[in-house]
Parts: sequence; C-alpha cells; structure tokens
Amino acid sequence: MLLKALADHAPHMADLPPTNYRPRTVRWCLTIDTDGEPVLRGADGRPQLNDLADAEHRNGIVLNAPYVYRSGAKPPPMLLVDTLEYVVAAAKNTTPKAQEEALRRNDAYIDLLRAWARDAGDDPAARAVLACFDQGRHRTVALPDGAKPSDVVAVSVHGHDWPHLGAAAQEAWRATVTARKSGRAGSGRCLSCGHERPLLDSLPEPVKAGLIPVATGRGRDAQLVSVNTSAQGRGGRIQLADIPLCEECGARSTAVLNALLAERSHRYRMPDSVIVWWLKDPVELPLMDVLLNAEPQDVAAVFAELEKPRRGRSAEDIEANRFYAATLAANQSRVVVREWIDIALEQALQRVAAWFRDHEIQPWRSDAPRPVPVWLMARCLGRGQDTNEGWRYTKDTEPQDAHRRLLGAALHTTPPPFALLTHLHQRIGADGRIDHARAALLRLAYNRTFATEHGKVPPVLDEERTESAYVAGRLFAVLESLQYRALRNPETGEGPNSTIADKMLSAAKATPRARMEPLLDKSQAHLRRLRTSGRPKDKGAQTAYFRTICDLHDLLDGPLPDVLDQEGQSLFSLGYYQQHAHDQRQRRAHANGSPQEDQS
Amino acid sequence: MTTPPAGTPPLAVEVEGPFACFTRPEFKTERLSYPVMTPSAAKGLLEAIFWKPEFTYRIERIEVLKPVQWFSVRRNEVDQTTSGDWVRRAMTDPATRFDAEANRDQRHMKGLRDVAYRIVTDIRLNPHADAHPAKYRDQFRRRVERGACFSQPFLGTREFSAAFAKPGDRAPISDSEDLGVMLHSIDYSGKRETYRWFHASMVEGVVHVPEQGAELPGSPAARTGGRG
Repeated sequence: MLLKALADHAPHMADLPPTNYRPRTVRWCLTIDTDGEPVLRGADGRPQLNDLADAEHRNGIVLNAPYVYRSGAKPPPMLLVDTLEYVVAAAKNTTPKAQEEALRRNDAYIDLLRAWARDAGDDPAARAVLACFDQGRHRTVALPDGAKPSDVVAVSVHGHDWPHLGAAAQEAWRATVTARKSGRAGSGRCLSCGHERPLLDSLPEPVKAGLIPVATGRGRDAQLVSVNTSAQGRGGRIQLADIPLCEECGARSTAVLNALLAERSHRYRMPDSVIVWWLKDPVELPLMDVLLNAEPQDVAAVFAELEKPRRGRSAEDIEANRFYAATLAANQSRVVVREWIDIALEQALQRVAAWFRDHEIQPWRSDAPRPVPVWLMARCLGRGQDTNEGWRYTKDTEPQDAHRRLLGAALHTTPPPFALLTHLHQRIGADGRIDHARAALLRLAYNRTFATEHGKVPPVLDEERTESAYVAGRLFAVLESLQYRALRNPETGEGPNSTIADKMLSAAKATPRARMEPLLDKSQAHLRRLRTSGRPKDKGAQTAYFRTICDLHDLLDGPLPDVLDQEGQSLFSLGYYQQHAHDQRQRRAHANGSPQEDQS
Repeated sequence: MTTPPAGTPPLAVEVEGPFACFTRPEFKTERLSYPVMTPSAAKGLLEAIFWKPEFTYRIERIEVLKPVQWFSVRRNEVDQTTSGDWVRRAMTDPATRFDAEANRDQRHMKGLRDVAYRIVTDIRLNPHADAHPAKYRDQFRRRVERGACFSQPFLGTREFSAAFAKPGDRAPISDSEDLGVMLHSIDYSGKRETYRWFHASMVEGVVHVPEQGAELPGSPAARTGGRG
C-alpha cells in the first residue's frame, strides 16, 4: 500500500536524489587540486574553506549528498559530505572529551574515504581526496569566523565534478548503508514489494524535519516505519525484526515521500498535518489544485476529463491509473498515517465533481453558482473582521482539524463532521454574517448530512420549497431588506448602521417564531414609511415587499417554527442567504434594463 | 492434517462490533488498520468461540457486510512489556513497582468503526483426531447459536469486543480494493513463531484467503522469534 505506492513512484520523479542521498544545504567547500593540496589559502598561507553562501543562498547551496539516519553514542560518518566535526575534526567545544570525539569522528570519516578510494580504482579525484586526508592536510585548514562544527562541508577537486556524486561514490555509499542498516536482517521476501532482497534493520532515511507540520512548530526528522521500544514490537522485538522491508523499498519510499512533500503541487500543509498526493501514472490534471483553489479553469478541466468519451478504452485501462493520497502527522519522531486513500483515478474525479455539485452556490454578486476553495471553506469557520478591503477571516482562528476534515469529506464523498456544522452555526451567530463561503459549507453539510436525494438544496433559490425553516430564513432576509430600504437616507442611499440580521440573526435562526413575529409587526411601520415617502419608486417597492411577504406566508403550513435544530438552522441560513442572492440578481437584471424572470 | 471431503458445507459466522483494528505490520507503532479483517484475526476470533486440539480452522473467505468507516484515537500507553525477569523481581521484592508515568508512550490508532463480517471457514483435523469432522462442525454451530464462547471474541485488538451470530443473508458491500501483503497465519509449532503472508485483495466485498501463505524466507531463527 503506502510504502509500495511510494517506492513504485520513484521512476516518475525527475530529480530524485540517488539512493541514500538527500538534498542538503552545504555551507562550506574544501577545494583541493589533483595532488591533494588545498587550493584556497589565506594571507598566513594556511588552507581555507570556500564559503558557498551568498546573498541568494544565505545558508549555502543545496546539493544532493550522502545521507543516512544516524544515532547513538558514536554516530558514524557520511561519505565525503559531512559536518566540520567529521571532515576537519572541528570539536564542539574546547573540552578534552569533545576534542577526542572530533578526532574519532574524523578518523571514521577518513576510513570511509579509504573504502571509497579502494572501490574507485584509479579515479584521479578519489586519489586526490585520499592524498589530502592521508597526509593530514585537512587538519591545517583554518576555520572561518562564525563557522560551527555542525556546518555541512563538501570536498571538491579542482577541474572535476563533485566527487560525492560520482558512480563509485554512490556505489560505495550504498554498500556502506547496506552494511549499517541491514546487518542483522539478512535477506528475504519484502513485505512491500514481495521480492527476495536484502532486508533492513531500520529505515535508512527519515522524513525531513519541517515537512510534516507539528503543533509546537518545531518539527524534527520523523521515521515512516519505527519500532523502538519493546511494547511497540511483537514479542518485545524492536526495529524491523518482524517487518521485512527491503533496502530498495525502504530507501525509495522515504526519498519519494520527501520529494513529494517538498513539492507545492503535491502537498497541502494544514495546521495539524499535511496531505500528499500523486497519481500512479502521472497525467496533467489539477485534481487536488481544483479542491484547494477552485479556479474556474481547473474545475472545467476536471469536469471535461470526467465527461471525456471513453470508447475504445477497456475498463481495465480506465481503472489502471490510481489516485493516492496520504494524510500525515508526526508524533515526536514518528510519522502518523492519519488517512490513506487508494482509488481509481476515475473514482477520484467523480468524488471531486460530486464535491462541487454539493457545495456550489450562487453568490450575491454573480448570477452563476460558484465553487469555494477548501482553504476558504475551512477559514470561514474562524473569526473575521471588516477591513478596508472588506471582510477578512483571521488566519488560525478556525478549528485546527477543519482543513483535514473538509478534504477528507471531499475525497471520501462523506458529510463534513457534525462538529464543524455546529461550529459554523456558532460563528454565524457571533458574527451575524453568512457569506458565500459559509453558505457553500452550509449547503454541503445539509445536502450530505440531512437531505434525501430529492430534498437537496439547489445552488440557487428554490421558490417552491415549503419547509418552514427555509421559508422563515427567506422571510427574515426580506424583512432585513425592507428595513434597510425603509430606513436608508434618500440622499446618500445609505441604510442604518446595523440591521436586524446584525442584531438577531443568531436568535432568529434558533427560535424563529419568538424573534420574527415582533419583526413582522414592525415591518408594517417600514411598509408605511415607504408608502408615504412620496417617491414613486418607494411606493413600487412597498408593493413588491408586501407581495413577497404575503407569498412567503402562503408557503407556510402553520406558524413559524418555535425552535430549530442544526438541520433547521442550516435550512434557515440557506433560505436567508439564497433570498438575498436572488434579490440581488433581480436588482442587477432590473438595473440592466432587462427584467428577468426568476431562473430558479 | 485431513482435508474434508468435497461438498461439505463450510462453517460460517457473522461478527460485528463498534470498533476494530487489524493493524498493518509496517504501521504497528502508530497503528493503521487494514480496511478489512485479516485471516489471522478471524482465526483467533473463531478459537475464542470454539477450540479443540483435534482440529484447526482454515479461513476460506471473509465477507465485508458494512461499508468501511474509520476513526482516529490517540491514547496514553506504556513503552515496556512485562518480562519474566521483572515478574520474578516483583515477586521477591514487594517494593518493586511499575511506574506507568515514567514509561509513558502516546500512540495514535487509525481503526475501523461499525464493522460487520461473515467469516466462512472449514476445519482441518489434526493427525491425532479420531472423530468425524461433522462432530466438530456441529459443535461449533451449536455454540454459535447459543452464543457460547471460551473467551470474549475481539476484532483485532482485545479492547474491541465482537458480537457474533449465525450467518444471515446480508450481501457483501460492492467495494473492491488491493490490500497489499497481509498476514495469513502464524505458525507456533516450532521453537519460535513463523509468519506466513499472502497478497490480499477485496473483490466486491469478499476477501478470498488461500490455503497456504508464503513463509518468510531465511531460516526461522533469523527472521522469527517471540514466544520461545
């Protein structure tokens, strides 16, 4: 499953590092000539290191470098590219213990170089590097000001490519990692790929720190497969003793995961987790971008792909391509798989299309229903404020798991969790505001949680709908509009600072009858004010409002509902929003001089 | 082991429960369940209902009767297992205590909720058995009908108890999925346990289980261990 899907994706990753390599930020470089003499020297004649940092790369340049997870009291070296402590024996501090450890690490580093040089044969770069380190020239290097023993340093030979990227170095490093990570396991059938291969004691590479968000903000390297204490393994056995994973699957799966997590087009970071996705056979299709950003051209592309005629293609072909998505979190230094999705691409397309069908809704300022990106749908569950540029939601005030839950609902075609709906109603009540994003989320929640196939709320106003909650919401919108119109300044066209929605939307959607009957009484005063203002347009408006209120009353079987639950409140809010959107559309049509019949 | 004659009706039992976790071996620390029951879990469940040394269960197929649904939970656990040595020390020294706070390990579980399966199985007589297999099959059916069990059956992990009943006529779900390599069975006959695996897939809600799983290669001493 996850490990196999990741490892199988390796051939599709164009710039995947060699096996057991990873992109590392290299700050310094020890450059030598073909005789092993350091090239760069200071005024005092001592060899110096090249500083690879510049204005654009303040911490150095990123290079694919040998890497393996190391731990313990005597962590072993990497080949050629390692920290200053290993390469030039720069001690962490001045204590004898630290000096001794630096020398030990440097000796181990040189031993590794010797093993590589043996395998490299008469490679001039290998001979030069070995000559430099065998003769102790590296010990004479002057450490630059500000250099830390933990800074990464590479070795280069003047006139040659990076020696650590050579074929001999890759082979030697691979053999070293095999010896370190597969020593006890021997060979056998891999649980992931099913082939007979050398098996791992532990995964050679962790998921890079920072690629998986953690609540504290200070992420660290995390292992995808980890058994470190007796209670975690069967019979008290630790590491991969009972999880036969081959070197290839182990190394490739983490390398691919690191590469995918680093790609913006393959991952979406959320407050408590990250979702990473890929296709078995990559094709140009904005499958997840469309969920995350809801750009119209992407939505059109997904629907076009879904509607493509598939004549001439067998069912196996259509099913062959798979969509994979994993939601990952981290627990200390262990990766937590919170979600794993493995479905046919066709099925994924259908689920994305269903997502849009279930939530798209007509906004106030447009005639056509529009989708909402997942990030905004999650963000609208948080607090917001009026700014000079309009209403803006405040980042990180939404529930931490909102993004993950909504994406899960989209990819599984399930209702969003009930807790999010409750939270949304609470925020609507607190802000007295239902905007396009909130209305879309309400429509999604209602259609997937409460509605039957025939009872779904459409994306535009349903004038035939007779549920008392929906009609009450519409009526509340009409009363608000009437109030605004009746109390607005005829000179400036501005209405009151706050409307009935600002003051009592929360109460009205929970207990419509108690709140709206007094409002209906007051609406008579607003109607009279329009009727007696002396302006013909006001008189026409009064007639229209009166007729709309009467029509809505006619839709009700009885009195307004006393109390509404979450389902009723969702319908009330949708009725309220869609009535306003409908009225705005009518006004636009009227202003354009082409009175338009209601299209709903 | 004796194979039953052809045409013998298989045994079946329906099990269900509010939660289940059939942990994937590669994600056993931060647990992630297979989407369906594994044959080794099914065998353990059947043995909780009826077990005799004269026969073993051979799981033929597992039918998934309810849509796959998931839940997540993070719990406080401990990072140590009890060893024989620790128990001996605790018995001799009354002051010895296990401090759960000092050995705390918080672990996540992605499990299944609201599950129901129909396990279709048969029995294989062991060499020393001297009765007709129909005897054991009938015993099993009688125990299922009256709800008798030796210990409470569970769904993958002991905290997720299972209810069981005789098979009904519910149709399996229509989903199909490649489940990857799955634990087939554990062989306890040697000095140390040996695992057998098979490539599992669910086809229209049914997981067919082969008679034999592939053993882990290498010598048993190198790649197995545990209870010995």
